[in-house]
Amino acid sequence: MAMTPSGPSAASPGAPVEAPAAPAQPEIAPLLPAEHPAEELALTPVEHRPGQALYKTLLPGVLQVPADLVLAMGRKSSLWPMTFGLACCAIEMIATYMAHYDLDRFGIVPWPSPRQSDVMIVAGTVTKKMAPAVKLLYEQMPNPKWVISMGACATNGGPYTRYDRVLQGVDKIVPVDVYVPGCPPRPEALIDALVSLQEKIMEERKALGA
Amino acid sequence: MSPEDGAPAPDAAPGEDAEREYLAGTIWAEVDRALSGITARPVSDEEERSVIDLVVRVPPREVLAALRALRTAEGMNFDYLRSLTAVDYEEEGVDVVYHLYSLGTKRNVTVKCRLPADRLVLESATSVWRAANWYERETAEMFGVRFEGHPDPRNLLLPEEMTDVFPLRKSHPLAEIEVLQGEGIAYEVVANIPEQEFETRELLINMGPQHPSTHGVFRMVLEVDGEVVTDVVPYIGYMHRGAEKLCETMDFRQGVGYMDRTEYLANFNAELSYVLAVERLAGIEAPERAQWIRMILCELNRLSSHFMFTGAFGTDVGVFGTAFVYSFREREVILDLFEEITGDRLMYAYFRPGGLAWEVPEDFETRVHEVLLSARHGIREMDSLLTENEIFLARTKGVGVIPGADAVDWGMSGPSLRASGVPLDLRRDDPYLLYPEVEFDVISGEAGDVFDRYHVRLREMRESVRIIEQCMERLRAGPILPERLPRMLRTPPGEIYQRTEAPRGEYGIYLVSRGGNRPYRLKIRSACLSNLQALRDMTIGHYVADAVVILGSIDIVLCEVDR
Repeated sequence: MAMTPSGPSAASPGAPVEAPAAPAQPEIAPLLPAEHPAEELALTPVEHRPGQALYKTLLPGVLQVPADLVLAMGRKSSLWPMTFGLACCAIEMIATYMAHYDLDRFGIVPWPSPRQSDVMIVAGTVTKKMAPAVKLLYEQMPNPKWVISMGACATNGGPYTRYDRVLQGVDKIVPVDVYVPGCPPRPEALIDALVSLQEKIMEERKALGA
Repeated sequence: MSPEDGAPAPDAAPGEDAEREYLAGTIWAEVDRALSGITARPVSDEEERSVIDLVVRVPPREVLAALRALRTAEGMNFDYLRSLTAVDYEEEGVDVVYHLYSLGTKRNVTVKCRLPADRLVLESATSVWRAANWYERETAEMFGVRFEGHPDPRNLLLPEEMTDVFPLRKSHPLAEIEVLQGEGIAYEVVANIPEQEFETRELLINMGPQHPSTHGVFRMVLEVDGEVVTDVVPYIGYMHRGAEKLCETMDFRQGVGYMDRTEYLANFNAELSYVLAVERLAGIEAPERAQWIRMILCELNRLSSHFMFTGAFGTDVGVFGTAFVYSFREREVILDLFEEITGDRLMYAYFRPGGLAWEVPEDFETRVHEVLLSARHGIREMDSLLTENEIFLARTKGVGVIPGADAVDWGMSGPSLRASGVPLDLRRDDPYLLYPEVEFDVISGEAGDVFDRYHVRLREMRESVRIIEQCMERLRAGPILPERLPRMLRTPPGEIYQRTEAPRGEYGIYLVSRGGNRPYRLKIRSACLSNLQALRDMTIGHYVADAVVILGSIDIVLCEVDR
């Protein structure tokens, strides 16, 4: 409010309108056709019209975006995966966090508690003995939350699919957003999965609600 | 001793002469003396005997007496229970197999007893070796053998309520492969899972199966009095995925991949055990060049595994960040080399029965020297970062002590055992490959505390560098596979218990073949499982915060524990 530029809204109601308003007009894009100067004064600061925005008058150079887009951008830029390793893939997951591949570059920082995490990377075979714990962890995460199924085992049981104590894919117990192929996937593949997840978050922002 | 020396030369003359000749080359005379009064029978039939060890058959009712006699036998006391498992022969019954080792005389013996299929009951050996505790629990749940007098007969790897399913029996079917990939993704519980399984009570602290510092899916319930741990109940089996069962359905070459996935921090060492077992059973030997390259890769893998340990252990102690990131930097250098050779960062499947999958790249030697340079720097850095760090010393010295005798009784092995002052290193004591031709020291500690377990590993890394340097000098051009290797490898009937010194301890493969191109029974002797058994002894009486440090110091890989 303090930043209100000298323009129609700054002019005091009683002052003559034509002369002082004229120089500022070209910079701040007139809201109304010039043939209705009196109406412009009365309506500018408060009324929102389709296709015209208040902020363009008040803060020139600012972009207008929907709130859900802002939220989705915030979400995708600070994905915190839960540090939750199951089997061999976990080693590659840790390697992805560490110096060489450095997931921090994407704003992705491991977090050891499900209560503050956004992403669950299921890195390894889910056995039927472990499945209740995985499901519990998923339920402990706050919404919105995403699941990456890393590697063949988490996706469909992989090389262990024919042993009956192994769950044939973590999607039997939690919904999965991104599947990463490989046994184990390379760190680049995991990074690619996270980038795909970021894209997905942007795409589905309307469904999630803002 | 070169690898094939242990194998008795096959004799054409059948009958008693051949048997006497075979037994003369074994320790049967001593074992027979120790087992006086017990109806023990040596296995000398060529189709049944083990390639390297003496096998003794004992009737079920005398097993406990025989084991006790062997443990206390004068001059040759078998004080170390390597492994205990079973082999299912369907209607013929179930064989329970004990692999014993004498630390003093460095000799091995295998005790077997055949249980009839309708009466799978045996006396528990927990009173002889404490190590038998978990081994018997595993055998019981997997084969349905009931061990009478066992102090804690719960399931170990399977869920505790699953008492009527015995997955390693031959009659237990494999699961059907589900083709519906990607369908039914809706958030529905397809598997039948109880809603609430994890509950805690007063004074009980539940750690795991998801806990950042349990190195995987290990769960322990700590009973605490204030800050002091009064009891620990470990739960494992959250990663039990049937590698042994699946290996029985695959041919010998395919099994290598499962070894990788079982011990994923020391893949080459795990592959080596398996490959050596198959080779010795099939009577083939890898050419010299292949053996040198195997040694180089195994020692490099030991380096990368120990780097991982020092980093992760630093994190457990509270040096988060620096040590972990540095160690991973060093590890990546080694992994890059492995990738150049094998094409994969983690699952190499490079060793094959008979030799190697393909030749190493042309610049192998320069690359190894580069990696060694970096590794030496890394070891020095780790040493200066941790070993003299006062806080690190305060947290590790005198914590989690286990005396040598207890460690042996629990069946511990590898650096964790050597830290307690028992210098058992299979590279020296039960040699394989060309280890007798290189010089290296067996590092052992004194106190048996957490610091020693760390420091033994760190010093061991320097020895690994030494071994690799010597191997590089001896490496010559030559073939990497034997001249005549059948496309589909078959082995004659027989059995072998092949053990090697992996970074975490004794990684053993017990392979029973009845002929053909796949194992009849494959048992993986996990070093971490035995080491983990001793956790309770180490932890009781220490602070809760130290429980994590003690667990970290054993350096467990849960996939290897649960298989």
